[in-house]
Amino acid sequence: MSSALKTVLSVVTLIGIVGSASAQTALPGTEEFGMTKKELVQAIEKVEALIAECMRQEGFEYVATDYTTVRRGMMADKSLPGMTEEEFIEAHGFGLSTLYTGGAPQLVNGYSPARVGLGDRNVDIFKNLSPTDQVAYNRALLGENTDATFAVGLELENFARCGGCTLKAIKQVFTPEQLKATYYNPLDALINNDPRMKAALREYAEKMRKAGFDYNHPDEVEPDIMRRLHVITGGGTIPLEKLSPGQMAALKKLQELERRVAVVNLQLQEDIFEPVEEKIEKEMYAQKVE
Amino acid sequence: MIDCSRRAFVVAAVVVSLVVATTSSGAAEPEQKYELFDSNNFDHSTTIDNEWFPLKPGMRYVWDGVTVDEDEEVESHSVVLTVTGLTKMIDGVRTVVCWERDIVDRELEESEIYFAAQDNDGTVWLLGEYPEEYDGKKLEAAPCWIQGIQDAKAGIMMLADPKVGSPSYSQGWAPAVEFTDRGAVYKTDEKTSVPFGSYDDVLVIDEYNKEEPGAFQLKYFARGVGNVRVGWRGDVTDQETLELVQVEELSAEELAKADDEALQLEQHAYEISKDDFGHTKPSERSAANAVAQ
Repeated sequence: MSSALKTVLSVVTLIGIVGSASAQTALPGTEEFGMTKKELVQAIEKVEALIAECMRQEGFEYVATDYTTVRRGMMADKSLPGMTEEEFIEAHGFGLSTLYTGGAPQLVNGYSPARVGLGDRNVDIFKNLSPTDQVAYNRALLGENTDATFAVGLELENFARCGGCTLKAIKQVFTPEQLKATYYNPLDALINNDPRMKAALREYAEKMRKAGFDYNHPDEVEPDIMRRLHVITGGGTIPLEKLSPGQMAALKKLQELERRVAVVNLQLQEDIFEPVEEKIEKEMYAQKVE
Repeated sequence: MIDCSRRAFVVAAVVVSLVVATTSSGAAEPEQKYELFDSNNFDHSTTIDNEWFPLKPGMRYVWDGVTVDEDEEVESHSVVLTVTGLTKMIDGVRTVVCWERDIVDRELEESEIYFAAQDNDGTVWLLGEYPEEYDGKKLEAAPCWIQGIQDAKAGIMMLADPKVGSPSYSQGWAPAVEFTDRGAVYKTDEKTSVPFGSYDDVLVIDEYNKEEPGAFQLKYFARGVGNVRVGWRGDVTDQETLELVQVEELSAEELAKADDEALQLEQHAYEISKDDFGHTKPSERSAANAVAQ
């Protein structure tokens, strides 16, 4: 979940309560993809059951993961035990190129939101397969991008990189609109459309350029780093230890860039967006109470 | 690991009766509201080698888990404990300064220093703490207490020889900040597995307080390691689970940095909690770390 969205949740929850009392205004839910908590839990349960069914048809065992495990996977994004988000970003940027392994997420010992969201039972199932079957398993489950699990896509509110049974299942539960890479959560869209937020975005783009980066919106940064990483690593398929010296040098350069841009991005979000969001929230809340 | 979640914001009448309660095991037995503390029984107070609760300077422990609230909202939670190279005199006893940080949903919710010492019998004592609680980056509260100041009394962090049936004990008594946590041995010889390891012969301590009757936090201790798991039972508001994921010995440089952070927090304590902290002497670096500086 974006920090922009997170900050408005508490207020929007209150608005939701006020709104539901009158049942006049249909406000978007406060969870990912504008869902209510109940809708999100149901969507997760449906998708997970469909993934399990699809994997069974593919000849593999997959245990439908529960809501809490998927939520843990979502929370594991840009997070390591004992570190705040700020500390993580300072040390590892977004955790994309900096913590790249190129291995299957189920076999990663350190940072891996994908592994956390799959749950321990599925990780154990995977570990008991032969190396050949492991490759086939992940192709069936995840398609080309083995880091793009359901939990990771849900956290990013972007399923564009998902594949295999995961994408098949998602397509049966989420709308075509939600599946678009350009999709915006209704709440984010609401805030992004405010003139003050538009002005803040202009200021963000200007300060980013001054810092040496060509980004117009915070949501552009991570996909760009990921795209660059895939160019270096053959779509994330080459294990770290098998990268050529040239690829390794390019990766190191990208890691430095990622750390620098992530720190600037976080700082600008705190300095520029948070005060504006706070104002918009207060006004939204006041209007609804009236 | 100190539990501060049950401490600061509970608005309840402080129980003033000297005795009487029901222990966590359900058996009625007299309960001292605080422990009798003898500062003359601490000849090697900074050597904390109780097998259930070792605190060696330079060690860093990380626990990770989640908290599920009444609305089933799930929040990530991790705790980092650093046993610093600092010591601090409190009420005539030299204590080890421990620095602990609580990170909830990727934000620092609490940072605190607390002061531990081991007596001649092997019991580990808590002689006070200075916690800072934050909302975002704003300091919300700092419910400090120090043994011997404002009626605060030191409590027990770990018994020398914990056994099922041992009387419950106070983990500290600080009426000024409504700190009344207690512990009791709940089970022994348990088994548990956490990311850091699998353990037999695990000791489980029940922690509770008078402000939240019927709610118990369970802490699992492994010999030679310390706290490996946190769980819950009973009528709790938040279901918190934590597991030990990492234990490491800091380098001299890392330890010096941790000492600096703890000293900064202490400096803040002198500004914020003048009535408590103002009566204590500053922490001191150990000889080895002073040289490293």
